Amino acid sequence: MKEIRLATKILKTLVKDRIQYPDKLVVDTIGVIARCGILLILYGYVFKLNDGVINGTTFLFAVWSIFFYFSFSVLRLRDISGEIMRDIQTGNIEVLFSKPISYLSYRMWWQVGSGIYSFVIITIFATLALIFIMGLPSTMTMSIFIPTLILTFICGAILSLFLYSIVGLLSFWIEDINPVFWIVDKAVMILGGSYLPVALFPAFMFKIALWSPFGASQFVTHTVYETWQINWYQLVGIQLFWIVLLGLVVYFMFERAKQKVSVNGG
Amino acid sequence: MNSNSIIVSNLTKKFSFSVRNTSSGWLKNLFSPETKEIVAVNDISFSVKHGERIAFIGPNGAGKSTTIKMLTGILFPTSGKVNILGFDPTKDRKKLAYQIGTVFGQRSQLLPNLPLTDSLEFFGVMYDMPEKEIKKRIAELVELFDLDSFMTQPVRKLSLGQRMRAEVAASLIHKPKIILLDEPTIGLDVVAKKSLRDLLLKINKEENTTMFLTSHDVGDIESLCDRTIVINHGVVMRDLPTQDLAKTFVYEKYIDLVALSHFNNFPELPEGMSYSSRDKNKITVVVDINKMSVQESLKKLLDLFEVEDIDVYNADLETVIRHIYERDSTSN
Amino acid sequence: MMKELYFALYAIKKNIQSSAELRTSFLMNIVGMSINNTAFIILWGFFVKSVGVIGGWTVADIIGLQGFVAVCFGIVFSAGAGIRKLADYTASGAFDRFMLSPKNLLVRIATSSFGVSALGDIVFGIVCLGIYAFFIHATLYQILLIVLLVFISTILFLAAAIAIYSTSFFFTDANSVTSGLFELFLTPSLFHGGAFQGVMRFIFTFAIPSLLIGALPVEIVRDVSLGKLLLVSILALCWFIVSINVFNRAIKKYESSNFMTFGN
Repeated sequence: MKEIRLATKILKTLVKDRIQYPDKLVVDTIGVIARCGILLILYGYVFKLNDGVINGTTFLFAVWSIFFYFSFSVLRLRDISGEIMRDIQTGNIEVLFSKPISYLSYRMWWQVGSGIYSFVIITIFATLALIFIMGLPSTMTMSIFIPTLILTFICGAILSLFLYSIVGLLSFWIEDINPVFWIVDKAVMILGGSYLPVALFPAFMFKIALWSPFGASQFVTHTVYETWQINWYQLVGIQLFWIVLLGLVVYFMFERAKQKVSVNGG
Repeated sequence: MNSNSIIVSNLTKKFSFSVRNTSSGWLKNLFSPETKEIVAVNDISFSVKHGERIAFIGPNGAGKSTTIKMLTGILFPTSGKVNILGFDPTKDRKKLAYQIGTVFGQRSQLLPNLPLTDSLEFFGVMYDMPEKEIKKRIAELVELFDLDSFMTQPVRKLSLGQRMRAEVAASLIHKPKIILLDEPTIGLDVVAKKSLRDLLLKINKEENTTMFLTSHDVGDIESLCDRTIVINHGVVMRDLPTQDLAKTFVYEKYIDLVALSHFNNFPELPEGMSYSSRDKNKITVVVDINKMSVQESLKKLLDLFEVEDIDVYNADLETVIRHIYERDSTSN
Repeated sequence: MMKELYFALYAIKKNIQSSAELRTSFLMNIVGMSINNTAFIILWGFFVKSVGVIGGWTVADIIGLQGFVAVCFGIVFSAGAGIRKLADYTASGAFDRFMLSPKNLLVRIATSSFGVSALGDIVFGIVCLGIYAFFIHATLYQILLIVLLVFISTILFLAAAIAIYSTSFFFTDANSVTSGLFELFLTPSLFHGGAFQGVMRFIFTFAIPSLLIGALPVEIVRDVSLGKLLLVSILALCWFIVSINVFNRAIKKYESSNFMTFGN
């Protein structure tokens, strides 16, 4: 099938590019260390002060939860907003429209391809390091863990791409989408369990994180907790709901955008 | 079979946009702005045969890019029809995309960090070509465009001339029937320009690719295109063989007079003649030969000036085109 | 010297005029940035709620921290947004244009661009500092300290920015490297200050000046600690000298090497 072949080609080509030029890998590694690494050290200290337990959670769970957030963010799916905005501002979008491809899926695969190399390398090494330093919580050695993690991860990736594509597509109507991007990005950051793991959320905030698409895009951070084995299907269900809804929004926005371009130019 | 690759009939494009009225308030401008309509392309028609090489020229803002966007299906016409290779771009944009190649002088479509082969393969897959065919086509293009010497270098390390050759090669990976070129020789030195133009002519000859070129470089127009369409203010001003274009101003002759010693004064010239430029060493006069013959004008000028040398010539293509642009802007 | 200052202000004014034309975008940027920064306060606020007071840091202190960092970020990257573009300037060859300018090179580069969104940071930061002063029932003396520390941390921030972005001259993929280094500096500066203890505190005070621009000023104001004030002031001066040195060395390298311009 053509789509699959093109998608594979995009991924292969971009990974090849990243292997040749490992600067991005270095930057991403520094980024993860600066954010996640320092954060975990701080939390280590904080948990020690509180006798190892805060809000019913131990440091071990917090570490893995926070790590999953930052590892996921290495994929840089959020950058698709900026890429779409740049395509529109530079007129590159017209070049891509003249090719026999579907613009949006091209952009999405391109975004995945840009980040996947860094993501795989950093995740593997960081996971090994964490296992060595901290060990694994029992929840992560259960049989359902890996398959549900993969499922949540894929759903979260799709949801992130849709969310940030919607922001990017706003460039067809608004000159500078950056303020919107910041707001969405921060909502994801807060509700995703980044600097504050989800287990430490106050009750109402947890609810918002659970039911909003911002939180749902980062459900990988929920997979390490004990509650996961009971309610994973509920969370995946929420993700699927948002995927369908936002997918429709993306589709209709893009159709309107194409109409706008075809009627009134860029 | 229809020998026309492009048929444009009564194509019109109007844009409407909101205008800020400086006298009304900020709020009014936000919620109920005034709209203004401009006609970017106004009822143009032309057709292009397979294998023709067309220059599509006009001053900035003439409606060139709007027309081209309508040809590729990016923009929808307000009225009129476009037929490219039997396709209606507004309905079959994707199908049409397989048949068109594009080259933008100022925008690269290649992957900058990887060798050229990777970009070519990438486009090959994008255009749905089988692996074997991609390999074969790359070999053809390498030979045709002489790309061997820099195939393995990252694209961003190529010189501009090499890069443009690579861009054109990439645009032809899928053997399109039409290739649209926008300022392909911009920034190239004289040698690189000639080299690129020769390549384009070669491709046109070997693969019968229709060429649709927009350029501000008169050399491109003269050497590449046998037909020129001049567009201005959204209307086709001229559509004729390139070599005939110069002849449209055949009623103008230029006469250069080189002074024997110095030209001291510049008397008013009789009707039919005017100064194009003058200084104490050389004068250029433009003669309207509808009003005065060359013989008569020479006689009158030699009566007025003492010359060492004299040169009579037609306007060159660049001047002709400039005149077309200027004339239309003054007559409007 | 006065000429340089006059020119710098003129350049800034021109930049403001050309961006203020996008008036709606201007406002949206300020609002967006404020909301962006508030997110950090929310985050760390909830942190304090869940985890409790650590290192003596309360929610008020978090607000003060965000205030200090936002103000110095805003001042440096609004008027001197050109510093961030150093990597782009060197890669594109636009840098040569600056070298030929008769004005002080660093000032010329810094004022070459104006960061509209950073104005939002200034507004936000001032509001935060106001709220902070209110919550801690600041005395006049503390308020004066706040003003002084804004000045000092801005110098520090400027010095760090100059030092980091000057490394553009030493790498080919300068953009990635400089943004990575900058991340390493800025991100920890926004973290809950009280959680930095021991080795971490040492590293981020003396090796990477992250704590100097926000966390330490907050502690100085809160505890009225003149010892820390002296420390911060001395380090600010040192960093400033270091940054100018790094910049000058980088320029020398640029001048002496065959710099690859990927020009079209």
